[in-house]
Amino acid sequence: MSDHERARQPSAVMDEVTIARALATAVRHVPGVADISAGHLVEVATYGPAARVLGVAVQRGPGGWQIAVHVRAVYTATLDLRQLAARLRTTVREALARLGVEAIEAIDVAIDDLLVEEGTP
Amino acid sequence: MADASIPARAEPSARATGTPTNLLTEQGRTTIASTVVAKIAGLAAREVPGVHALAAQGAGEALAGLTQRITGSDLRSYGVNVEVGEREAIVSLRMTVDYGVSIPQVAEAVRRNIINRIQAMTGLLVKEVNIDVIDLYFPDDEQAATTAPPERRVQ
Repeated sequence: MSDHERARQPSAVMDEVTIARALATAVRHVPGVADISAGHLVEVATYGPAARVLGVAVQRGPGGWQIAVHVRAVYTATLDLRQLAARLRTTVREALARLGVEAIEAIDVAIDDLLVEEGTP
Repeated sequence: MADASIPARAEPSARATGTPTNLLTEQGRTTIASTVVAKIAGLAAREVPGVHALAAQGAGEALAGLTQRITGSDLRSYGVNVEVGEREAIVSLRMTVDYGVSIPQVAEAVRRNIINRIQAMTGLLVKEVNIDVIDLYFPDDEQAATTAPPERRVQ
């Protein structure tokens, strides 16, 4: 896709960093998420001019946007990480819809770590 | 935000941060890091009465544990080694048990709890839980050491 073509598309107003910032905010408010995680071996982030959004990777792929979010979950006795992952995926999809971003190829969710609060045995 | 990634790098056991697990769906992939699985297993083991503590897996982890004690970072996956595949996991742990308990019963309860917790929380099938009971803990030892004044044998 040339820059010219990209500029004519409605989602072209949205750059990677703007999307990543919106997603980071949305993800942080999901119940069960302690924080966003910047990944543990390779940094997970979205880069732009003088900007770096950690924990959310937004890229343009051949089939549409490729999104990855990395989080640290809060440990509870009734923790269900598959449910949390599904909740995160829905949150990301809704946030993208609000931004008017279409053509989503993949939403990858990673639980990098657990936050175990004091007092848990 | 950058801070959130730092503890992950100084993770409990180097082995616990190995291959993450992938749960592939049509809408994308879900990855659960092995540190997460190790922490769940460690907590599940400690929940069982009779388990005194988990112990380091060899010298490497003993050193890692020492660093964490000094830096005050999370020790909860300490003593647990996990191998995580796409759908299955294998857990190995070393622990000390309280003197007086039935070791096979406690070990079996630990195994059951680890399997249940990991399956409920991550959806991974636990193929094996290998438990090494490496020592017994005598509660009296610590009490004697902390409370009782040294007895004089000669008046």
